[in-house]
Parts: sequence; C-alpha cells; structure tokens
Amino acid sequence: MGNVVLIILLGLAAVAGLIGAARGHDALFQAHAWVIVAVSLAAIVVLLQRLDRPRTAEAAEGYADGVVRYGVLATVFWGVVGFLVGLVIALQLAFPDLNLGYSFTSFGRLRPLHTSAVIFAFGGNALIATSFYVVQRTCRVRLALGGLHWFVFWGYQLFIVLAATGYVMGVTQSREYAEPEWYVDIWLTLVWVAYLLVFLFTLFKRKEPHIYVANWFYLAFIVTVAMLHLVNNLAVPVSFLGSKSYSAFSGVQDALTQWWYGHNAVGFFLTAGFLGMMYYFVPKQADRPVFSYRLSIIHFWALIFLYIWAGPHHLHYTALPDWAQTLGMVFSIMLWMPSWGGMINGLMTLSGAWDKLRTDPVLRMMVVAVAFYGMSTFEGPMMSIKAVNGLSHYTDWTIGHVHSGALGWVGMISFGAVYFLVPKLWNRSGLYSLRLVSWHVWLATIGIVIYAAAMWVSGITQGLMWREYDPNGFLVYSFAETVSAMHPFYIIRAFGGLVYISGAFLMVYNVWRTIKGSPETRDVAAGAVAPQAA
Amino acid sequence: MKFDHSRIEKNATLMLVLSLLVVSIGGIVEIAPLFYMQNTIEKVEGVRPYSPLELAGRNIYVREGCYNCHSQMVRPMRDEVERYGHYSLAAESMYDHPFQWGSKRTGPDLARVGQRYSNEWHVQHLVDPRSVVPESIMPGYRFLLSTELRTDDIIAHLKANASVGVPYDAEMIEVAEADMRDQADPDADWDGLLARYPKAQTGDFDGTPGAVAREAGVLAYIPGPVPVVGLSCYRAGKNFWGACWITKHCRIWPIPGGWSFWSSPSSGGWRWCSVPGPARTTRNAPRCLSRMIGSLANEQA
Amino acid sequence: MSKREVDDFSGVETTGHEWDGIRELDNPMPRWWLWTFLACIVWAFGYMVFYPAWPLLNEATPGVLGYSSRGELHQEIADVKASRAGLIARIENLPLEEIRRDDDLRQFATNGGRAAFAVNCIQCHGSGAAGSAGSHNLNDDDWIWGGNLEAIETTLLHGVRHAADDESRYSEMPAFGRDGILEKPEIKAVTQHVLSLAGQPHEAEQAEAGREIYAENCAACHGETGKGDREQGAPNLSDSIWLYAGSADEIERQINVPRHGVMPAWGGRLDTVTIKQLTIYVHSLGGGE
Repeated sequence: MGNVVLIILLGLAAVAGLIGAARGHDALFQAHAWVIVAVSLAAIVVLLQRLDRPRTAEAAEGYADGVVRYGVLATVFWGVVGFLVGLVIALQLAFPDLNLGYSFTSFGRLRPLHTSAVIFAFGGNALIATSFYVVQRTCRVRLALGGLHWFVFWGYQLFIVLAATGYVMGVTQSREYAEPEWYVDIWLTLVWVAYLLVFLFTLFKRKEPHIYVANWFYLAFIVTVAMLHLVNNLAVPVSFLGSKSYSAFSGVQDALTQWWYGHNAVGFFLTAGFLGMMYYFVPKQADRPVFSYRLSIIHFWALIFLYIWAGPHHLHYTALPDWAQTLGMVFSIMLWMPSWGGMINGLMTLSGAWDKLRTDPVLRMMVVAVAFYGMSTFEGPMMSIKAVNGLSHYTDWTIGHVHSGALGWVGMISFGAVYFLVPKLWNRSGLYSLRLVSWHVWLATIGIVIYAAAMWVSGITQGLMWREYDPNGFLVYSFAETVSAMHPFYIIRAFGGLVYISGAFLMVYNVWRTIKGSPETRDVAAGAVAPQAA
Repeated sequence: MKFDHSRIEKNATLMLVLSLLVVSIGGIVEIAPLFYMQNTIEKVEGVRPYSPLELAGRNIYVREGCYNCHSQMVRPMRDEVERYGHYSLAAESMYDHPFQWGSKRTGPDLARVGQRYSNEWHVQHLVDPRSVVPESIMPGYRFLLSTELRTDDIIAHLKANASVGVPYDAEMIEVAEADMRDQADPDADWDGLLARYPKAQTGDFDGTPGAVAREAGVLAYIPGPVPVVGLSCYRAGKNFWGACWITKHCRIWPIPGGWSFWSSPSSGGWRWCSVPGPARTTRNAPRCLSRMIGSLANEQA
Repeated sequence: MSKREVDDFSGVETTGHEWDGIRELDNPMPRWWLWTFLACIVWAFGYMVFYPAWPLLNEATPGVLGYSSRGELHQEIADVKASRAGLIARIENLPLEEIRRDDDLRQFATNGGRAAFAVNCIQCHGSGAAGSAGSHNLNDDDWIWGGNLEAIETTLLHGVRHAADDESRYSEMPAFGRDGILEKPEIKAVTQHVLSLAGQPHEAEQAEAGREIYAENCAACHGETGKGDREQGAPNLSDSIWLYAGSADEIERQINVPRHGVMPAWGGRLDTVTIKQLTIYVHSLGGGE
C-alpha cells in the first residue's frame, strides 16, 4: 500500500521535473530537472518490481539494518570518489595542464566537488548510517516512523547527486562548504528534518532509561546542522525555475554568517557527529567501559557551547570588526580542552585494553583516529591565535590542518566503524582479512603524515615568503615566485594523498570480500538483528 | 553527581531544547551586532552597486569558483598593503551577495586588481595563464572566450539583488539590459550609464569584434570592489582605437599628442601631416576628422 | 536497572547504566584537564579585558590597551616611513641622474624598484624582466620609447596606449593586410625585406621587391634602414630583437593585423618615489642608456 502511494508521489515528482525541464529559466536548472525526472522514473521502476513481492521479515520487526547496510556501502563509495577527486585536484595544483581547459574539469569547479564529496557524501553517509545503527542498539528499539529512514537515505543521496552535478556544471553559491544552490538546499532541509524526526522519535521510544552519550552528540550534530544550514543559505532566487540565487546577507554580515556556518560544519558535522561515532565504536571494539561519565557531560556541553563562537577566527585581520575577531580567538582557545575531553575519553577507554592494539588493527585504526583528533584540535586553537593566523591564513597550512582532521580523524574513525559494521550487518563471523586492515592503517597514517608535513612546510614557506623583506625594508618576492616555490610540496602532497587512497582501495576490496563471503566468514551470527538481543 | 544531569539524559525533548539553546547563543551574540552596530560598516565615498555588466562578470567569478584560490580581502598588514594596496574595508563588499572574501591564496588577492592590467592582458591571462606568467598554476579559461554572455535575464538579476537590499532604483532596473550592452560597446553613448554607475569601465573588453560580449571579456574586467580610498582608477580600454580610419587612399591614426593624417593622392606617394589635438575617445573622432580635413584643404590651397 | 559495579581492571565504579554492552566508569575528570580548561578560561577573560571584545548597543568594549588591528598597521607603517624618511626625501627631490650617481641612493632605489617590479610588473614583463609576447624585454638594449632615465620614467608614469592618460605614449601601426592597404604578395615581399634589414636569412629576390613597398609604407615610421623612430614609438627592425616573434610568419602576421600591447599608466597608482625607484631599477637591468 505504502509503495503505491510512493509511486504516485514519484510520478508527481517526475511530472514536476518535466515542467522544470521544459520551462526552466536556464540550461543548468533544466539539466537538474532532467536529473529529477530520471531519478523519479528509476525509483518508480524499482518500486513497481517490488509491488508483488512479499515484504521481508526485517521490514516489519527487528532493527532496521537495511538502511545501515546501504549507508555503509554509500560511505565507502563516496569516500573513494571524494578521495579520488582530491587526488586529481592535488595533481592539478602541481601540474596545471591537468585542468584540461574544460569548464567542468577546472580546479574551481572540482574543488567544491572534492570538499563536499568528502564532508557531506562520505562523512554524511557515515554519520547517518552509524547514527541509525547506534541509536537502535543503545535504545534497544527499531528506528521510529516506519520507513522514513529510507527517505532520509535516498533523499540524502539525491542531495549529493544534485550538489555534485551542479558543481561541475557551474551551479554554485560559492559559499565554502555551502555551495549547493537554493533548491538543493531546500531539498536537504526536507531530508534533514526527516532525519531529525527519525532520530528523535527513536529516542522517544527507547527502552533504556538514559540516553547514551553517543546520542547526545548525534542529536546536537543533527539539530545544530539544521540551524546552520537554514540561516546560512537564506537567499532569493533570480527565478523560481532558475538555478541562480543571491544570498540574503552581504559583505561583512554574510562573511561572519558563512564562517559561523563553515566553522561549525567542522564543529558539529566533523567533530560532534564523529564523537558520537567514537563513543559507540571505540568502547565496543575495545570492550571496555567509557573512561569518565563526568568528563562526557562537561566536555559535551562545553564543546557545543564554545564551538559556535569560534567562527570569526576564519576572518582574522579582515574587515570584520576587531571585537568579533577577539571573541573568535578566545573562544577557540577555551575550546581546546573541551575538544580534548573527547580524545581523553576515547584513549583512556582503552586502559586495560592497550594490549589489544597489537592484535586488533580495527581498534588501532580507531586509536590513530583519536590521536589525529587530538592533534588537530590542538593545532586548531593554536592557529586561531591572531599572531599565528596572520602567518597561516590564506596558505596551505590551513589545508594541511583540515586534512589531518579530515583524513586522520573523520576518515579513520569512519573506516574503523565500517570495519566494525560490515561483518555484523552482513552476518559474517569476521572481516575477510585483518592483515589488509593493518595495511590500511599504515597506509592511511603514512599518507596523512606525508600530506600534513608537505602542507606545513609549503604553508609556512609561502607565508614567510610573502612577508620577506630585504635589508632596506622592501618586499623580496613576487607572488608568482612564491607559487613556483610550492611546486615540490604539491607533488609530495599528491603522493601522500595517493598513499592514503591506496589504503582506501584495500578497504573496498576487504569490504567486498567480506560481504561476498568465504567459507571461513560465512557463519551467521544468529539473532544479531533482534532488538532484544542486547 | 552533585547536579542531576540524568534529568536531561532521560528526556530527549529536554536534551534537544537545551542543545539548541546552547548552540544559539554564540551566533546571536556575534552576528546580530553586525546588523545593528553603526560602526560595523564605515561610510566610504564612491561605493555603488555593481553595474549590470559588472554583476554579470561577478556571477561568472562566482560560477567558476574563483574564491577557491583567490581572496578579495587585503588584510591590514604591512606586506599586504605594499603588495596589494590599501586594506579592504567592510563598505567595499556591502553590495556583495554573496561575499567573496575567500580563504585561500593559491593565487594572489584580487580585491584591487581591477584596472591594474590591460584588458588584453586579462583576456590573454584567462585564456592561457602560463603564456604571460610562466609560474602560474591557474587553469586556462579558454571556454569563456567562446561563451556568449547572457543579457536577456539581467533585469531579473537586478530585481533579486534589490530584494536583498542592493539599492537599484526603478530606472537602473528598467534600462539594465541596455546598460549591460552599452558598457561593452566601444561606440555606445555612456553618459546615462556613467551617471548611474560612476567610474564604470567601458569599452570592448574581450577584444572580439561585434557587440556581443564574451564571458572572458566580462570576467577580464574583474569589477572587484569599486575604487575607493584614494585608489586612482584608469580606463584601460581599446575603445579609442575604434577611431582609426584607414582606407585605400586616406589614413588617420593617433600619434603622441594628436592625430596623424596621411593621404595618397592619385599622383602616388604618401603625403602626411599631423594635427595636434585631444581626440582620445571615439565620440570625438568625427570632430577631429573634420578639423584635419580642413587643415589638409588649407595646405593644398 | 541501575546497578553500580566496580570495574575489574581499574577498580573504579561504573555509573550502573549499560547500552548495548557499553558501560561508563565514574572516573573524575582528569585534574590536569580541568585546570588547563580553567586556565584557558581565565586567560580568555583576561584577554577580553585588554582587547576589544564584547558588543554593546552602539559599539563594542574597546579593551584597555586601545588596540586595533588597523591602528597597529598604521603605527608599523609610520615607523618604517620614519626610518627611511631621509632617503625617501632625497629621492623625491633629486633628479634621476643624481640618484643614479649616488651609491647609497642607487642601492636603495634599486632595491625598492625591484620590490615594486616584483609586485606590479612581472605579470607582463616576467620575473626576470625578460618580457613575454607583447611585453617588452627590459634586459636588452632595444627600447621602443627610449631607454634613458627620463624616457623610462615617462613610460612608467603615463603608460603606453593607456586611454585615460592624455600623455600616454601612443603609436599604432595600420593593419596593412586586413584593411586592404597592401596585397598579400606585397606583404610577403615586405616581410622578406624586413628580415633583410634585420640581417636575418631571407629570400633576396623577394626582399628586393619589397624594398620600394617598404619605402612607401613603412619608412616614414621605421626609417629607411629600419632603425625605428622613438618619437613615434616605431620599433627598431634592424636589431633582430622582436616584441612578438621574428619568424617570417610572425612578421607577416604583424603587418597583416598588428597587435598593440597596452601598458597601464602607473602615475596615479604608485607614488612618485616608487616610480623613481622603478625607473632606476629598470634602467639598471642591463639595457639602460
């Protein structure tokens, strides 16, 4: 019955898409309308095939793990896509001819594709998938609100596809990490509200009296991202059938709104959300209790309160008034320890289980992730100090900082979660190969270290070259000379990225072989899908 | 625990509301004052909305993601003001929807690059950056040269800007399409345009014949912030050369300080004279020409 | 439901809750963590007393130090200016030739000029001032508009073909091919003649045929022997130094539809001292006259 309603809705969406394609104000909007038509029709075909099929047992009872399985696969897929685009644009910086001269292959269009693919497609899918998994386990109930979680999943994939195709075609707001245009933003809002509702109503009907700390972080992440997304993307479209819009705010107000959003995309998407992930998977994998409940409370509230204030440190020495810069800086400094609270709780949870690091590469992956988290949450407040920021801002140092957080913390904790989840979700007794995981840990770690080191050197070098004075007090270098000085570091960075990606490919292979199954791993862990199994 | 956190832990609604409350404070305290505090944006003479053509150029800047590598924000630091010019003021981007201050300088800051180099240089540099700056790692934007600029929807763009607070008046919106074409037309009458958008740069930006502007030309202009803070602006344009008149038997072209007039009577051999005078714009050309014809007549008499 | 246990390994009590097998220890917050956190807070509030920080109704708290990032810059620039005031004043007041003769001034001006060149000029003239297509090589002895100090300064101040400056240097060669002044064979012949003037390999017969065409059409500006005319900005054709390129094809192209580079006038953009420094620097590059 539900499927029939869905098919009707999708049919309406297809018709709306056709109208958009026919009456669209510009070619880019029309192209996106065709995407809607194609997606709707494809979904209708899939649903029609399922109409006469009986619903599986899982659909009615037990944990809703189907969506988690899809989410894990999407995480791996988008991760590889995002890393590959990253490698391409890293090589473009070293060898500019690789821009190829086409509009859709130029750095300016591919870089948002890379950042969004990694943050929102890879990171977002990892967060949605793990939050659905974790909230069910720690509440001991199935996801609430029927099949709405499927809307969340597929709606989010559609958001990714619209955003990504938009970038390469030139549909962009040119707001960092908020590039998608107004109609894609509205779609994401719908999806996100559905996500919040599924998560919240699952919490409502939980069978555990207390809400587990992981869910505090997930909840704060979901609700804050909703707030940030809504405010930062306020805009007026040129036409309601057109792709271009103008932001509601301008100049300095727009700048702070954007970096309030941008910094907290890091703070809530990449930090709070992934801390939620860590609070479940690290204690599970280590099989140890969380180190300190009191620390959890203090660092949670301090983190979410303070993080929001730190945005202005992206605008040091700009036309933003000095007072706002001061606030951005001092709150970033105060944020240091609350951030480290997560690291302490992560690492100290291993006390009593350190020996497992020798035998369990998945746990090693998670621990390295937490270590990188600690490193980058120290580096961040340091770079927010105006004197340091004056040197680091506009240089590759920032890029290196972001990547030690994204590749190290976000990437590796997600890999750890994927390695944890795949055998459980597909009822395998274990991963296909722990040796490959071990290799992955090493490749990822070495890749990040090469990457970050190259960016430290290039960033500081360029920052210093820009302000190098001769004895008479005259500038020494032209900008062009500082660009050519970056060349070797750009090659080293690309190599570091390549090493990191090769680890990701090992993961793809490992996940695929685990899912495909082999005689050793095909033993089904019975009862793993029942809510009561906890 | 002395305080009872478990109340929050047991109530998802409470947790949600408290979280939202806690994360709202910072943004409100930091962002709201920027809207009401008068000294956030200092008053600066000469800041005006973008002309339609400038807006179109800016939209290409936005579309191509130039902010990924270029800032438009000169910081108040000695090396930056020496390298790029006066530090940027908030007023300079007050009509920028969205702002494009940028966060990375893979390439140099562009806040004050407008009018620094010739249009020819910009077009050449956009098409093939390394042909003029060998060290550059910028992508080539040859495709902009073959893309015609869309002009038919510019009114809707101005209206959208007006609705978010850019002071485009009814007249500006009404004549936007004509303004857009005129600004890129070396032979147009710019008086109205320049009254609406003082100091706007005019001329044939893309170096291609015909009235249709190519996107490369519009981007080459890189309107950037309107010249303020003592920045001298200049007209780099080849509009002037439109005045050059060359036929089989008669040629005039400019020389330092005036015009040179050559004629080739049927007897053969070129005779020439030069006529001093201003005549630095297209519109002065006919006047100048008649003066020269007069002077030639005198000479023959 | 809630049963507090003691963890075997650490001997610490748990909070008694359990989620999917995960328990929590009731460890206190690490002391060093708490103290560092408090120290950061204390430092932050101290900092906010000294620096502008809290937004009020009409303005923000200014901080007791009276700091502003722009004020800091103004101070630094004033200091730099003061430290160089003597040299700057002398450069401003002395004629270029005297600056060049004075070792200290020349050294100072050359350094300043090099910096201004790196910031403003290399985009066209290249990092080594060797030029690019259409932009002058400043290292050689070939000057279109003259290579002595005054000529260089004038070019810097007013630019070349810079429409907004009435004193800008202007020259424009007719498009002999495009505008039908010369026929294709005539252009080919005159191209060979130009090559012969430059002493480059050429077809003698064609060059001879081009002699008269050259005399009629080109000599008025470039001179009978191709030495050029700086008054008119007509480049020297006899020295094998080419602004675009010196192949027959390129020369033919230039005669057919000439390209004309534009150099902006830097007069209003850079101050007079910087222009003078640039003049000294460009003059020192090897081609100065």
